[in-house]
Amino acid sequence: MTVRLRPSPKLLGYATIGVVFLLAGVLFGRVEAAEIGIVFLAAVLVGVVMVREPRFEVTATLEHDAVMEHEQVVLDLEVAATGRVPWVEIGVATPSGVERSGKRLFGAIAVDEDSVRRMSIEFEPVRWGAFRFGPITAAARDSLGFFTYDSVVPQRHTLRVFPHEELLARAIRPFETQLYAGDEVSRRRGDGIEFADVRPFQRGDRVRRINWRVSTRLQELHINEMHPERNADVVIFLDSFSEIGDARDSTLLAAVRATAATARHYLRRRDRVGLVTFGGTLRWQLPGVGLRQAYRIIDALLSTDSMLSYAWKSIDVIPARTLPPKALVIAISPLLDARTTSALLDLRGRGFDLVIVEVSSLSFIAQPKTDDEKIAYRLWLLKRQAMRYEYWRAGVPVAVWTHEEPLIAALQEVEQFRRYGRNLRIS
Amino acid sequence: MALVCAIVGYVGVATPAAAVILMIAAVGCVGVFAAGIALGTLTLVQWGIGGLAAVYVGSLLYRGAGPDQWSVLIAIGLLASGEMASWSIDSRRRGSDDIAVHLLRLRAIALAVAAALALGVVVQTAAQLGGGGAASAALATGAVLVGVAVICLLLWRIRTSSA
Repeated sequence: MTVRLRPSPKLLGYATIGVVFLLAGVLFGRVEAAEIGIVFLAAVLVGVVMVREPRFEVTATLEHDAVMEHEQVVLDLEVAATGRVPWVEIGVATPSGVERSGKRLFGAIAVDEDSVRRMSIEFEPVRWGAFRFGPITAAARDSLGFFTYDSVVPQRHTLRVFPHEELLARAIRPFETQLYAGDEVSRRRGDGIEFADVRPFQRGDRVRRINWRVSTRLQELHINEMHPERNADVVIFLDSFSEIGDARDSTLLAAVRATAATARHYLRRRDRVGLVTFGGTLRWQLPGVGLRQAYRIIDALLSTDSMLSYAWKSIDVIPARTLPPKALVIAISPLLDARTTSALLDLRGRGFDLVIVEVSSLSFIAQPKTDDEKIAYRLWLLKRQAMRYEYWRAGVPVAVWTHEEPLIAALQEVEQFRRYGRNLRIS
Repeated sequence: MALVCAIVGYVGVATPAAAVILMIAAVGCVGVFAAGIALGTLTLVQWGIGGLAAVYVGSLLYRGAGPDQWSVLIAIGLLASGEMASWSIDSRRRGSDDIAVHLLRLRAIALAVAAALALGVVVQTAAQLGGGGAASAALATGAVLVGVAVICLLLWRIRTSSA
């Protein structure tokens, strides 16, 4: 802990008054002026004699290093003094996105010799992310406030705040499944539980599969065919090119929450889940399964941030292994950037099973007031609707999700489109 | 504020009505002092106190009267006003301070004021006994030397602590 001594303006003021009035007393031959000077210099002398360099150590401990959004976290501070500290104030630099939640706020404290004072400061993270607390500063003063000893505690604590995830009961069924066992009922036929069809018996078929009722009626052996349960490859395509909103709530914050919920849902179903963060900085996580993959994705999401970039990016920049064949690609995007809209159409053109969950930006936009603003707003809405038609024409369902509503509603909208709407011709 | 107003009142009573300009200056200094407290700026408080002290000395010079027997109390009043103002400004934070912090500060202020009072009384008594002339000059020179020594000590402490 490095200590820096800083004299207060009061000390300089008193010393100046003292010297000036002493000199004035000598110059004008008035003892009253000299007395004023002496009184102020006496106060300075007492302050200088009394002051002792405060010897103390500050240690800070974060109660938890990983919490959920809006979950309280406590920072424990311990001030251990080897000499008497008459006045010390501890300051903690709170990162943006984390707010003080405790009612009691600490001012200055006094610590006796060879004693320890403990304090707890409560914080509430208002958004997900990785936050660094610190630096922790300690400002100690002498009793008269003539000197301030500024010190910085070198400790820094990182708090990881996970996004609140909506627990999804159902999500979008992929068109294609993979080879490994999972919870997804495949459209192929094989060993499974779900009934698919009846066909004539062939050499090598298992006897226990024979459907005796159909076989008796048709006077020929028939067996039941089943749909096997397989896993699927799901790639979540998170658009971080642009965002609308503030530090507390924005389209990107909502999109990350939706991404976390979707990833967790598919991972619970033993599907392979990958992540592509497509924005100013391209990040990806190769598809994987299990709890470890869930933590990898969450960690990748915590460092997601929108970054201004003018570089034109297409899906060519995405590594090939990140987008495995026959994968379901779920794009979560506010659809505000032309690079994303172009990349998504490109993905569809390459035959990927693509769905889009559009994070609605309307609730983050101020309502138009003047006539010109209203016309501009209507034109912008029409342009967005035209863009959605582009996707629908390409067979890509687009569900608009307002972040106050449950995500499952938007996902079911997509599912209904895939089941019924995709056969419609939109002209 | 009450102390400061009392000092202004004393200056107003002691000074003849012709010296209106001194009274205006005194009221101005009180305004600066009050603004310093209201804005939480210690520098303004110091300017207010310094200005008021200057007005007091100016009124004595204007009158050309003999030694003022209340001068020590005036000086102590100015010092106490400055200390109270800085205490008030330092306590003006969002959080609540420990009671021990205030008790220690009160003790330190009392000590400083007592030491200043004792020194002031010694100076005044010496001036009255000496009857001015060489004794006053010697006393004042000695006090100036003490002031310079205090400032040197101060600078030395700051240097050694920063290193």
